[in-house]
Amino acid sequence: MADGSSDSGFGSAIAAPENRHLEIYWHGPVPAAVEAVIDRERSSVPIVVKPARHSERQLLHALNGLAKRSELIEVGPSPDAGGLVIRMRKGQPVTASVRSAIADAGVSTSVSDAAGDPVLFSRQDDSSPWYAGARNIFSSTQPSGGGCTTGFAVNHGGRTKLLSAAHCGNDGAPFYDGAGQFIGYAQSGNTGKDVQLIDARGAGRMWDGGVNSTYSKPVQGASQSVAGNWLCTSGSRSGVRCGIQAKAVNQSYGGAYPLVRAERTDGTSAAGTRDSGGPVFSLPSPDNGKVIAKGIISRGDPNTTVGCVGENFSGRICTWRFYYADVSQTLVHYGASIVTG
Amino acid sequence: MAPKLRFAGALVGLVLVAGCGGAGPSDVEVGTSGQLTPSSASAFPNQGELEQIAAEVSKLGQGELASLYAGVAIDVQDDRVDVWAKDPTRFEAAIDAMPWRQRIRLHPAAHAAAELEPTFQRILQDQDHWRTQGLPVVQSGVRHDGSCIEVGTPDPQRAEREFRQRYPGVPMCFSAQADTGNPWEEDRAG
Repeated sequence: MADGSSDSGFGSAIAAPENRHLEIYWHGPVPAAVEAVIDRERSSVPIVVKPARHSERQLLHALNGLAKRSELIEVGPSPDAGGLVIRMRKGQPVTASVRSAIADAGVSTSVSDAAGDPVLFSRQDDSSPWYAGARNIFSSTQPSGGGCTTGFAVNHGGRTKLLSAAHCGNDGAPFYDGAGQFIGYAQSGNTGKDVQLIDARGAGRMWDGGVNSTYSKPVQGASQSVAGNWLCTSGSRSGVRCGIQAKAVNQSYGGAYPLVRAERTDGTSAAGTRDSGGPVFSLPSPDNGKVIAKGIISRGDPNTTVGCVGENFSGRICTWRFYYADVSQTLVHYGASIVTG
Repeated sequence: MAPKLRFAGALVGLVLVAGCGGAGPSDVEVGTSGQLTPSSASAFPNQGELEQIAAEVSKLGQGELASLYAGVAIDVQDDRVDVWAKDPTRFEAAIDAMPWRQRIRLHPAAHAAAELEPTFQRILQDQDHWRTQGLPVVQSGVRHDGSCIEVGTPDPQRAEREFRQRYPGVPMCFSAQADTGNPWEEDRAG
């Protein structure tokens, strides 16, 4: 079962005596032969089987590519096979080369410094190549002066760029990350569709988790929305919000068209101010630690205002119903393709 | 070594390897809100398949079956693709040979999308006109069940009167929508 054979979905196992059971993390469907072994062993050891985002083989493959890098002091699979946990060697800067290597790992990653502090790059303080879901602001010296969220990276005009919402800025406007580092200039904005590009190098990854997360996932691809889709958002001021369902496609709202109408079904916030431009996504099944790009957060319905989650600064408005630009339609509009990780 | 011990030994070895990695994803969450995407978000293993079926139905519906097709939605809980069409019997005959036929749930529609779409496009083009009339169209779209064109506006009663005059004979559903602009229209850059 755990012999590392090429087709094994084995992710990891945790034998914690205090829990009085053995946890096995398995990627994908558990084969009948493996289930039989587990059932046999259950007569003497309580065993709980849980889904794993990655198989051990996938994690070790990604690990092998990174372990050679002298800048990294530790690279290892997380106990639940959810991804790789990476620590930088003390004093080592996060060079573009390191960041590209992590971006190309193809599995979920969490990166911290030598002391384990998540201060290297994060949703709030990203660096090139930029991920989707990162905070962006309009002034390097006035972080509170407005901002949005970076969208998925796309291939356009021979290089990578980032998607965003057109209402975030006029063409030519500069964008900076949460720490004031220059990202790139807005271009090709289309206010009728509420989409634009940021001319900056992007990676096929998306920030996951809360507003200060250091955890990111690769982008597997992009697909068109249909009514009934279950979705998540990843705005830089709200963090990840799931339990959202697409209700109608090809909608006109507030002068923008075509948009998808989506609602968080429990009536809590789906997204809010300064999440605009950020990712709408779904997860593949089985969950392989990647995300599928679905859209670009556009605008909330002010009739559905609710309390915010994440950052809650003065004047912030969050809604349980919102609209987003479908990513597939946007790719067609720009003649672009999604960047995968 | 007995089979059980071999099994346990292999697992313990893996635990040691995994344990070197430090905190797992659930432990590195330091945000003030939000969680790592929960696995329940992908609790619908059929979503991707249903999306593909919906895409094929939609392609047919915009092509050879355009005179019947109203719209499509997926239902991951029931593992079905809901399709609305005029004359469902004819639509059913057209898709009967498709391998995914058993996952389609057909519903009768009052109108095909192709019947409603031209008027919807006119409404989109007329947005400036309605705004100058003091009757902004905040939201609009063709319902995927083929029942009507939705129109959201601050004064739905007035809109109903005036829209029926300008677009006679077209089914429309009116609702109240405040014209407050995009609440997320942050300070624009540039």
